[in-house]
Amino acid sequence: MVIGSQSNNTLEIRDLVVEYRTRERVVHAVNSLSLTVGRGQTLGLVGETGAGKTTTGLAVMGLIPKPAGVVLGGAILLNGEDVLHKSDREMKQIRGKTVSMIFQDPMSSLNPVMSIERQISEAIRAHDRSLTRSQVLQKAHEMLEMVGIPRDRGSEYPHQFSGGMKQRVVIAMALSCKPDLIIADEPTTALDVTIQAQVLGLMKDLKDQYRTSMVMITHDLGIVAETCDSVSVMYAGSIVEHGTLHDVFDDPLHPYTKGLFGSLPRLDDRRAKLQPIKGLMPDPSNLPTGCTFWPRCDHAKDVCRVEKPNPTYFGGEHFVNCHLFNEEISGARTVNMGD
Amino acid sequence: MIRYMIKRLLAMIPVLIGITFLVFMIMQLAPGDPARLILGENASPEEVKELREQMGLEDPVLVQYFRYMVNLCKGDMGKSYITNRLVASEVAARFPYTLKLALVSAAVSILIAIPLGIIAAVKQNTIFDNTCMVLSLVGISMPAFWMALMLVLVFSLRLGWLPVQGANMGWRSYVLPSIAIGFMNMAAIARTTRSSMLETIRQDYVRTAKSKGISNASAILGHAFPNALIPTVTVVGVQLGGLIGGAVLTETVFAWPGLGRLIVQSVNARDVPMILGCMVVMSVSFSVINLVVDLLYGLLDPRVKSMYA
Repeated sequence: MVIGSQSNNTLEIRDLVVEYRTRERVVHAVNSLSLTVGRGQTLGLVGETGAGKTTTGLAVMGLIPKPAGVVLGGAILLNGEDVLHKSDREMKQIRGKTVSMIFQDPMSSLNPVMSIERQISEAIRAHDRSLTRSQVLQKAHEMLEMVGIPRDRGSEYPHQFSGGMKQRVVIAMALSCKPDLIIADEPTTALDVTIQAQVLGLMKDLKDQYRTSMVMITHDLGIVAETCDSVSVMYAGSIVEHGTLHDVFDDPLHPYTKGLFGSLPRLDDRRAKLQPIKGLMPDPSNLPTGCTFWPRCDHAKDVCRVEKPNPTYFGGEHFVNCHLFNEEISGARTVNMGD
Repeated sequence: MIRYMIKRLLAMIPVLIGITFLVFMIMQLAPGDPARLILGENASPEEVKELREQMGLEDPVLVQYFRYMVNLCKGDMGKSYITNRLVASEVAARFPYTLKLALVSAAVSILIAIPLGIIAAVKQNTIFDNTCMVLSLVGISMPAFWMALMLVLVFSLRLGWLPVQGANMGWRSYVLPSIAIGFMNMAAIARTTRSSMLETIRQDYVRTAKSKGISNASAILGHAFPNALIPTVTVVGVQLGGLIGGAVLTETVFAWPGLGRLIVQSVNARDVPMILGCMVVMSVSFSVINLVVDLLYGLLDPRVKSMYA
């Protein structure tokens, strides 16, 4: 694929590197990350807190907090165009219109002193100046009704809504200009389980209705299974394994991916003990050399400590960045990983 | 909202009773006999006693206070011991000068300080920010009366641009007094605005606003600023109250014909009815300003408004 050409992918990120620099240290938040989201597809971006998932989302939006955050390299292609080389003015056009983001905490992501219809109207007006005031309001009300909020509540303020309702408002806002891509950053983490299911269902319906592509950032594998077409597993700022939902769920390869599944309680075997991944995420300002996962990996070999692994493909888009599979691809599947 | 206003207005009554009572009692403790003051050193004790009885000063203090309050409700604040003029009309003549000066200086300081505070927050840790903060530290540390004297020295005496004192030269008369009073307030407003803006521009909802595709400036002015206003309004409210009651030194330096100067003259002359009159007007103004500030909170923040209901 040629950079800059009209591609079939809504989003392509190549070798993205993002750092946060403070006076004392440099945090390597995203390290040479690549991912692809096909048109109309949903990609699950899975990983622990601190893996750089949100930073990746913010980088696509061009909203990495400055001056601490610096994009050092790579390319972020939205519909084939690199957003890293866009001017502020062009980014303004792109945000909300081509790509919009749903943030984690609906309690804090709405302005408490502005009515919700005004907050939605603002997004609509930002991208279509030709509409009259009443047309904008009309559209805002339509968006509200689409997410299941009666239009006469539009003049109310965020504190008058429950968490789930607020997230619906945020979703209405994100969809109001029919973006090509939605980045949903843990959209249901702050909500009750029952509300979670409702909001996820709503997002799925709306996404299908508008044929929007989506990046679902989450640490919840259940949500991934529910909503995603493909999965990228992220660890310490880069992708360790990627594949379709079936590839990754039926045949997880990377020790970290296996660890994530091992950390889930199972309903079918209630006596089975949870097998948490030992240790903690490495300090992003002081990442281990070689494979970033080796200090926590039960199968780490000498090579893991020195050399970064390259992707090994297993048919289709399924790949894994792990030395266990690097040497002999033919024998790779038979490597005994103790499960 | 209206019920809340009525409730607040009614709540002012006990406050006023408390203030007048306190001032009345303090004036009782002050040395000196008003009757002796009026009649002069050479009056005989009999004459003084007679006048005291006439003025009701021989009655118990509480009776005197009660009588004063009854008259006050009728709008009668008594007569000055010194000039024998009606306190009410004297205060009414002076109050507009104080109010005008307070409003002008508040308006100027708000209009300058809020933009400075916003820019300083947005450009945190730059030269602009540091300069603003150092200047405002100077502003807060500098006593208003000293500032007033320096201003007069430079702009009136040396340069001759503006009048030295008085209020009879139109807008020119307002320039120096309002700067002298306003500079310190300006500094406080700028610092408050800056610190609350620093907090709000990092809020998630500002990021959400930017993610909608609006400009950085509209995100800051339309989302961060309205949320940062409440602490600023609080500071401005307290200052305005202070300006009405407390510009005593500045009014004295500029010979400003306002309440502050009247109260100083009255205290010097032990003119009790005049002091009481000034105090009543000042405290009513202070309470009204407080009420306005509280109502403003409701307009600025719907969460506060819903608590009134």
